[in-house]
Amino acid sequence: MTFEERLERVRDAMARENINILIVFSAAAHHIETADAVALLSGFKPLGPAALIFRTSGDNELVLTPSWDAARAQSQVNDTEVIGCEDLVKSLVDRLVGEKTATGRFAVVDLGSMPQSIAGQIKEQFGGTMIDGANLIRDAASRKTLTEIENATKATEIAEAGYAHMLQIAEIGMPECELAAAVKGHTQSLGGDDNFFMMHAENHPLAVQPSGERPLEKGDIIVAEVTPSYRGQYAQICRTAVMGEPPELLNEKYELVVRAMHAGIDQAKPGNRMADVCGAIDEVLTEAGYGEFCKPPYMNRRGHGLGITAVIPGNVSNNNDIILEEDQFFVIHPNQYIPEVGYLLCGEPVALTPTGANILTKRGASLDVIAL
Amino acid sequence: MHPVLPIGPYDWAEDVLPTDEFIGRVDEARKLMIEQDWAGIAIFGDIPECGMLSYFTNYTPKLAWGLVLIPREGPLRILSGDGGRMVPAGKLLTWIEDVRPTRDLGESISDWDDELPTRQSRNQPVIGTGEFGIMPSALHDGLVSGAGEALTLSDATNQLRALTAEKSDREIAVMTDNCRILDSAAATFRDKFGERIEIAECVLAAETTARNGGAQDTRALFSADGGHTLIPFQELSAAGVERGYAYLAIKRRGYWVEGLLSAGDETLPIRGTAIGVLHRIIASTAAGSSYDILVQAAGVPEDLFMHPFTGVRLGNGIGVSLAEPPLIEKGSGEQLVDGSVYSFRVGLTNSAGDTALVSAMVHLAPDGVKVLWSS
Repeated sequence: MTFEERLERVRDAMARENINILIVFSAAAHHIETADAVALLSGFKPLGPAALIFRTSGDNELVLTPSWDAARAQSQVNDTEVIGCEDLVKSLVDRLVGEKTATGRFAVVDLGSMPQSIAGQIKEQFGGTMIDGANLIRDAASRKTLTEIENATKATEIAEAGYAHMLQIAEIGMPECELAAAVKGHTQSLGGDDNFFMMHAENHPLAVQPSGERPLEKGDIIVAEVTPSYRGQYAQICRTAVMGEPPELLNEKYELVVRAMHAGIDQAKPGNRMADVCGAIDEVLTEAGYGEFCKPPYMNRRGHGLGITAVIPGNVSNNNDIILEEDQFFVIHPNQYIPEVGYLLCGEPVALTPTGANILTKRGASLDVIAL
Repeated sequence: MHPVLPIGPYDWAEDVLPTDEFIGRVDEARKLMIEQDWAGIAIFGDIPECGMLSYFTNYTPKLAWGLVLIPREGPLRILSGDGGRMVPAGKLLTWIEDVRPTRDLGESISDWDDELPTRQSRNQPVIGTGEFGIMPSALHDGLVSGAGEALTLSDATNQLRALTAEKSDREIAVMTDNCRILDSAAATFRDKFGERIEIAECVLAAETTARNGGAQDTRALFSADGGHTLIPFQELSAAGVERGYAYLAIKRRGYWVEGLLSAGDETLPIRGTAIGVLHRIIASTAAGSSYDILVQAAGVPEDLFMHPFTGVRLGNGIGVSLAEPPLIEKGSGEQLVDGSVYSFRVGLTNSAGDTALVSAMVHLAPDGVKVLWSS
């Protein structure tokens, strides 16, 4: 799908619902798993709260804060007028005054993500004229564009390089957060504009959590979600490394988790349900005797979509019955707690082709050893 | 652009900001509760902005929002939008022992209110709220419906912000240390620019220097067009520029400092003019000064234009948040107060397209204005 085809899908959906004005909001509170509707439909990642007025006529306007960021926006969006402002509500009202809507109503998306101070004013201003437009962009948000998949591929390359850097520089006594900052800096130097780098180390990890100040120790299992963004598109790899030679049992259990992941990846193909992917992973682990650890509180999901644009198909979970489609992009990560050794991370980003999942990494997950 | 996951040394450093520092702050909030007849105070923070939450707790939300509940008496409680597995990590960030995950914020606040010793004597208690305006609207709506009619919420943000204005000796010590890191980062920026490397890489190198100095967070902007516009880092490019301009903010131990950096513009007359404007603003800095007073004192020559980055706001308070009141901007009417720290920014351009971007951070100390950092 191209970006223009995405916009066409939205315009088609609006025409079907007899809606000629759609307003999508961005709080600019970015997250790896959530879609920024403004970025989805404009290609622009805002610095501050913003709104895109999207019309079936094609006369679109991007109203954004802060005002001085308008020039950056204008250089990145095509066929859209950019209005930089300090007061988003006032500017939005100014643009919409006297606007003729087909039904007397217009649709809004993601108003709930906006700061209450802004959303409250918008509700006061427009009240009953607004309807929820989430369904209008659902189709558009169900697939990545070709450019976004290219960016995801580049982000994956950066993630692998970042992880390789971590393996090179990690040493006994280094605080987790220092290592995390160094890896993030390295991924930025490769062009990554952000990195959700969640890395944690201990002898028997119970979960992955944000890095603290604990120094690395011999025998630590380092679990890492490396999630850089390239041109606004995140990609994630999940990896596990050991400070020093791992016991054989740890090697065995890691191979089990990797095998489970590939069973899931084999099910990731257009036409299958997302639940099938999760179920295949669970099946391998359950057969190995870890069925009780495939359920909450140990396990809720085994992957997720990656923003900040199209995040559908959502979570890799047993209760996600969504049918997978070509050009969807997400990470499959079993990330399993094994009581004998601890929490182990392995995960690969995949883009769906007509025949199955294209794993974007060049080197798959394996238990890595940091020589001491 | 805020980072999606804060990375850095966020654990509570008791030797830097000990418990008594926080208890003093909580005591001030409790005086406010008694004055206003509030049963308690609830303060919200999220990943992009958590200044007020951190002020009372040292807690920084990393994966999801956080909220502190301050009763009139007894221990404080932090509610975290993180999953339960993240709570052990969250406890390292704060002096408060009671950190718990929550999914239904309204119900959690109601439950907390029910537990308060003062609950029995109140029919419909009022809870003062801090920074609920930055809360995502859907979360806010859920909170209101979850809390039901049992609670009344009253916006206390302005009163609570006023408590953060005057900086303690410990806060000034942290911010002074942070300014030294900013100095080092600025030196890196200039050195790298001198090596003729790409401007985005100069900024990344400056951020690395800051992180190596202990920064928890950095926010940077730079100009790829000779100073006309400032942009966040988006990707590397091969574009070379004759002069380097950047904005760098550094957070360490919960406190922000910021500065406008430049390189290659030393001989531009407009830079000297901008520094003169900045000096005149600093000379007029005093309790009670407002935008009108400072702009008049600034004396910007009529043949120069204000840069878009600095044109709206001349400056603001800075500390646990990058932009604390007063906001020194046209029409705000807000005034400087003693004891606080301010960041002033001056950006000028001329008809030839030359640009100057300079800034300073000052402390209105009891014995006069102290410049903590200057371009």
